[in-house]
Amino acid sequence: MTDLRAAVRPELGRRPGTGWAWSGELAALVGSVGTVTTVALSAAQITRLRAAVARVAGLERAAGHDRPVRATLADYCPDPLVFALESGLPRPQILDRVIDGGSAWEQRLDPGIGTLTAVPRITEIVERVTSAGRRLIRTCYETELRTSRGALVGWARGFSLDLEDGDA
Amino acid sequence: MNGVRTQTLEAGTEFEARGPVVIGLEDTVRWAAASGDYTPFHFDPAAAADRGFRGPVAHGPWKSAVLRSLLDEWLGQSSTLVEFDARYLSADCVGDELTFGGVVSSVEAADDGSRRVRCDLWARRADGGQSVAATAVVVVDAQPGGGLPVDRLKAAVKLGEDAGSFVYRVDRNDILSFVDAIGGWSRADDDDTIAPTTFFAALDPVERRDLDLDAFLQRLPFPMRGGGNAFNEVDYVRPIREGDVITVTTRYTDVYEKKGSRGTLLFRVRTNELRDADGQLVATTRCGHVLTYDVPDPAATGEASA
Repeated sequence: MTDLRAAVRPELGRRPGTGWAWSGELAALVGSVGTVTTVALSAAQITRLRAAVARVAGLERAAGHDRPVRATLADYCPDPLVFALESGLPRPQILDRVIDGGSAWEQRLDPGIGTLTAVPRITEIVERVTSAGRRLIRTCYETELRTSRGALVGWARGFSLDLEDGDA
Repeated sequence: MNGVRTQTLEAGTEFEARGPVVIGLEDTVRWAAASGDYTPFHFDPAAAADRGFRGPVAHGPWKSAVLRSLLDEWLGQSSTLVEFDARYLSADCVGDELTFGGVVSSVEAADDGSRRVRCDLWARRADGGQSVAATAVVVVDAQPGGGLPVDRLKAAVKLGEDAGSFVYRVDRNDILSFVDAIGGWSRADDDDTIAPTTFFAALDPVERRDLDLDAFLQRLPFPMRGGGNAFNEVDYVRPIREGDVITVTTRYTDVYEKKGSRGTLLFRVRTNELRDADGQLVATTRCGHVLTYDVPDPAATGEASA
C-alpha cells in the first residue's frame, strides 16, 4: 500500500516508480477537503501584489494611486497551489519531482475588498504518459470562495505535476 | 499607453508585446512577500542549486500576474477578467529574459449587452520557447461617455414590460420560519395560518435570486461603495394564508441615477403583482433598490477606449 505520509511529507518516503499500482490510493485523495479558512484582503495587499509585477509589466504607474483599486479573485488567492497545500491537503509525490503546473481563476462575482470564505479541495488526479514517454501525475486543487452571505464568488485552481525524469 | 480601443476589438487583434524583460531577484522577492510563497528556491541561489536550477526560479503565479496586469492595461478599466487559465511550461530563472504578449481569439456578444473577449496569452523565453501558455476571458462593458450604463440597464431589465412570473406555494413552515426570523409576532385573533404583512416582501423573485437580469452591474468598472433597499411598499387586498399558491409577476418601472454625497446612486424600482391560484389580486408591492458607485469623471481618467 502506498504510504500516504509520503504524499503529505515527501521526505518520509517515496514509492518506486515501477508501475501505476498507486492509482487506487491516489483516487482516494480526490474529494479531500482542506481546512476551511477566511481570507481577508486589503487595499494595501492589492497594492503589494500589483507592485510585485509592475516593473516587469512596465506598469510602475499602475502601482500608484492614479487608478481605482479593483479587487479580483486572484488577489484573494494569488497562488492557488500554495494556498491549497497550506490548508493541509496532501501533495502526491511518487515519481521524481513535483512542480507547479499551472493556475486558473474563474470569477463569478466582483469580490470587492473584504473577506471571503475559502474551501480548498482536491478535485482531480490524472495519470498519463507524456509525448516523451515519461509518466506524469497531475493533481488539481480547487478552492471555492464565497462571501459571508454564501454567494459564490468563484474558484481558484492550482495544478501540481509529479513528473518522471527522462533517465528514470 | 499600450491599450487598444475596446470598441474595435476583433479576433486576431494583437496586443503590444512587453519585453524582453530580465527577471530580477527583486521580482521574486516582492512576489514571495505579496503572495506568501516563501519557498526558498524562488529567491535563494543555494536552495535553487540544490534542486538543480541555474538560479532562483520565478514563481509561476507571478508570470500569470504579469499577464493579468498587462491584460488589464491592454483592455482598460471597462473590462473585467472573469476567467484566466495558465500552464507553466518552463522554469525561468533570475537573469532570464521573458517577453509577454497575446492576441484576441474571439469576441462574442452576451445577452446583457456586454462582449466576452477570449484571448490567448503567452510568455516566451529568449530562445523563443514558451514559458507560459494562457487563455483568458474578459467581459468588456464599454459605455459611451464612461458613466453608469443606465440605458443598457433599462434594456436588460425590460423596463416597463413583464420581466418574469414565478409561482410560490406558502406552507406553514414558511410562515413560522418568517415569523421566527423577524423576532416573532402576536395576532389578536391568534391565527398563525396568516402570514405577517411584511411577508409580502419575502415573495420577491429578485430578493429570492429567482430573477437576475442585471448581474452585469457587479462587473462595472467602478468601485461599488454600497447598496441596499431604498424602500418597500405594499398595497394588499387580503393577507397571505397558509396553503396559498401565489404567482408573482415582476415589472421594472424605473431606472435612474442621482448624484449623492458618497458617489453616484443607481436606482432600480420594480413592482410585483401577487395573484392567487384563482387569478385574484392579492397584493401589489413596490421596491426600490439603490447601488452606490464611485464613478470617476471620464475626462479625468484618460480612458481612451471606452
